[in-house]
Amino acid sequence: MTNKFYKFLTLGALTLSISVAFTSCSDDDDNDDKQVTDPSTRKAFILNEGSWNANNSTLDVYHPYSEPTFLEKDVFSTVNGEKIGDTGQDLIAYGDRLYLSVWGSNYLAKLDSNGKVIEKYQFKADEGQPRHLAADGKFVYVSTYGGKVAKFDTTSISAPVAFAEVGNNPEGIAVKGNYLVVCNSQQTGSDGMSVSDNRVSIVDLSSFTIAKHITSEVYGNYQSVAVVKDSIYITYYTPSYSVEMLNLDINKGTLTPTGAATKMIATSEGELFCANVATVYDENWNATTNTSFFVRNVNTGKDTPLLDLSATPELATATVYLFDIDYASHDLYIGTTDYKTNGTIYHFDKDGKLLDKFETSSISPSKAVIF
Amino acid sequence: MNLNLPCCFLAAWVVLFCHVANAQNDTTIHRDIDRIDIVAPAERNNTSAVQLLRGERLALLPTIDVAGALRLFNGLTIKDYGGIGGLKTVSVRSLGASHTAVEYDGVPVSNTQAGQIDISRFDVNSISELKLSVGQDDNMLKPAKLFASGAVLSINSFQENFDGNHRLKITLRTGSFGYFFANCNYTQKLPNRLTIKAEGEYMRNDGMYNFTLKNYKTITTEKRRNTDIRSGKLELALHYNDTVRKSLDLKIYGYLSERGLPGSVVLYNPRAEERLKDENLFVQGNYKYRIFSNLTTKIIAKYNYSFSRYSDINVMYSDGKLVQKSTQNELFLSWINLWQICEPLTFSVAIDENINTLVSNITDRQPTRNTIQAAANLRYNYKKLFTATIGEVFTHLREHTENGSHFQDLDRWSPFANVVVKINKKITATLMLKNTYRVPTFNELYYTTLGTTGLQPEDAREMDFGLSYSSKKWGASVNCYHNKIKNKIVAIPTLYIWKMANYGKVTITGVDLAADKKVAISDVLIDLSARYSYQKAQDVTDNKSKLYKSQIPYTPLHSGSGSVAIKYNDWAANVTAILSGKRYFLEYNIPDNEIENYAEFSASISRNFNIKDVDFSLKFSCINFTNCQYDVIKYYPMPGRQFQLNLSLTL
Repeated sequence: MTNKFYKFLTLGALTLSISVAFTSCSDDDDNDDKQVTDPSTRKAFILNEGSWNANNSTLDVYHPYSEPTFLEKDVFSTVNGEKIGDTGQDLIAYGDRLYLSVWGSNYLAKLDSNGKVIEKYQFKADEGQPRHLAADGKFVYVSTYGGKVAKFDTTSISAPVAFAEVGNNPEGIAVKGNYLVVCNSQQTGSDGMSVSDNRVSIVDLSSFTIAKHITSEVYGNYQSVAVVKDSIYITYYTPSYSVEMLNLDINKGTLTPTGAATKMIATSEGELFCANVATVYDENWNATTNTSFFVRNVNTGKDTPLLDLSATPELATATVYLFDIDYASHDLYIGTTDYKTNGTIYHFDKDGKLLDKFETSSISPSKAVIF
Repeated sequence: MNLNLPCCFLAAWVVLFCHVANAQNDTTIHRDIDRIDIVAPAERNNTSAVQLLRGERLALLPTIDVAGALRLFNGLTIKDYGGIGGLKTVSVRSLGASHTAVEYDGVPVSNTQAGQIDISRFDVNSISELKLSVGQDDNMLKPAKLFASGAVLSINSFQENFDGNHRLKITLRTGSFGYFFANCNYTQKLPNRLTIKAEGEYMRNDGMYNFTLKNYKTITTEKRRNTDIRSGKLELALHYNDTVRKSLDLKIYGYLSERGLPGSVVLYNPRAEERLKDENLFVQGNYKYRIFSNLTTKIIAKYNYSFSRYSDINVMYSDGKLVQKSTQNELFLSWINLWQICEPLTFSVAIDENINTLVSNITDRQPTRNTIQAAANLRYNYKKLFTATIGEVFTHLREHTENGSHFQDLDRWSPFANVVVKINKKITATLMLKNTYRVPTFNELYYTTLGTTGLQPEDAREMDFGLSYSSKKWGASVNCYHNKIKNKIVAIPTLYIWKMANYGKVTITGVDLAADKKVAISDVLIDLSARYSYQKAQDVTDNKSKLYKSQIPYTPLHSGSGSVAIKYNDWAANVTAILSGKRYFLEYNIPDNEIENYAEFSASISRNFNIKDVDFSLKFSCINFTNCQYDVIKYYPMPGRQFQLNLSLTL
């Protein structure tokens, strides 16, 4: 049972590892977000991951264009009469639907614009538990902790139409042209020791098989991916557990270091919005956190500060767990966590002015989709 | 259940007490009162808060395991991860399970890897006495290790006392959820005051009980899975007592178990593949010699081997499975001397050496810990009216590892003091102060990525003030306490992984109330007891945090218990009630994180009879007879109503 306790902690760590796993929607998803143009009907779905084994993941709906603004808490439970379950993992909008992956409770759900479950797929034991989502054409892709990416037809997600075998415990995924870029992370061996996977898997979407693995002798344990026009950015964990960025060139098969960020947002204007939570620990793991926000110009590689934190000085030392954008208005949503209390969301306009700040209904808000 | 617990609880017991008190016939009160082997759980003649269950009172409880019996005690948090076979640990007054030492027949039981002892393996069938001491009890002839703990749970097995040369006792038990238990205990008296005992035990349980799952507005009946357990125990003991100066106890104990770990209930995902196998073998000896009338020495030696194999199946692991094996070895030696210097003054000194090793595939460190502890106590006792005890424990700890860094060297003093004043023949006042601490466990220091070798010990300060009243008919006590914990060892989330760190302060303020009543009405003997605890255990780590002054998880503000034991000739009946107020399962004290209060009632009826020189004892128990659906640990649902039939025969 001792082992069980520590298993809990280990899996908790695994669950936490998703904290930097970026929104894996492709740039196509971004375009879909823009489909709804009437501001008065737009609302932000906020996924709270919850804590492991507590079945306390929730979905809130924030109404930024109402006067006054307000938050509907735990909408998923209200609408469906039952909870999301354990560790809501990822949420994307595609077409007129939302897709939700839930890691602990082991399912993918398709929701309508009110958060009502239309359809649900429960993953089987040999398929692995779902992680991150991407969408393209008529398909939704889900990475799983079974070394797979599952492909679902959006017409019906009652069963996956195909699986691609990738690397170890894939995390973030994103579509680039006819490829799906897959971040393989790390895997716990039968003896309990973790081994990082140093491969980024490139899946050919036509055949849904591996086109190639891009392997590095230096890097591994990849977490999230963002596609900005022709550039692909990947985050990974260093052996000392800091998070840094790499530039991926699929054709050359190279991974090149390009600074540090823990969260990334790709915009269709060719910018990469970044949040970087740089934490230094002393020998007893007391943390000193320095959080910054910047915009990367992908053409010049130059970084420009994104936010003036004078109105929200607490963000300079906060653990940013949610970093998303309203692609229509360019409003920013930043969510913070302490892993124990309900998360806090900061809503900024495109000029960096704080519009709102509120507490969510559960722990660790991880994803906002403005829909 | 929506109970106003403190009020309901107190009202019910006040009514019951008054009713029985009025009904008693004074002319028969004194008669046979001692025939009931009942000892007030809060014993009064000790130097601090001691709670005790023993003898027939213990045997007749509806529960079958130690954890169930301990739930009748005050101020305890029993973490029960669900039914038979689930881990059960005991935390006293919110100090944490690692601050509670467990001794079995006078010798410490330890688990240096995990720090907390799983008490689920102890069955009440083999136990004669359960004693919980907060701070210090009045026994000065014990190892230094036990002086160093915040609280001590003493589990004592039966010391056979019977006519004739031998005795064979067979116990068979069956019950709900595929439960079966068999115990065979043979004792032989030998010449020269030697007694040998052999005991074998087997237990199995499928444990697949139904439970009610509330998922927002959807309520379903589910079945607990992967809950099976098989366990076996073999114990050989030799006892020598010359009744005057010397006594010797030797014991060999072996235990095997293999069980499923159902894990927490995860909505929509019933998979549970975790398994745990445990092996434990120990040999212990305990020799006591009264050298002079005022000087007694005691030597304790123990070798302990334990092995655990945890496994899980999931495609997220390479090879699709995780197997963690750990082997611990322990050598424990203790030499204790008790010297009555003069009539009012008694002095004791104990010196222990404890060597612990861990070999495991969860860490490459392979640590060895060598702990030397010395405890000195001086007691002044003036005609049993005033007793003052002061003491100090010194710990010298050195650790080394095969690879990498290791825990720092530790040299530390921890003092304690208590005073007992007998105000009159019936009223006693006690005051106890104690500084204690716990050393980080091997897991906290070395577990793969989780462990941190730079940890400091976790400090605890205890203060207790008690008043007790004791007479032949009544017993009552009130204990007020205030504990402080700092440098709490907790797992904290870093950006990527969880790490162990000294972080956090907790203050605990509480009141324990206890009342006991013995009544004899004609041939009917009745024993009533009631307990109530108020415990405010607050996180005071950071006054800027949302968690500041929040109640720590799994600690109810109000809790209590009660029991009624009735004996009539060869018949006995027992009803117990366990009550707990609402608790929080996470640190943040919001309604979403509450666990509902509960009240569990259990009952048993038993009869002793004799057929052709064979003594039979038959007991029928119904545990949780109201079929209350509740969790002690959130999403680890407890079983509903259970039936058990116990047959013991003694030849």
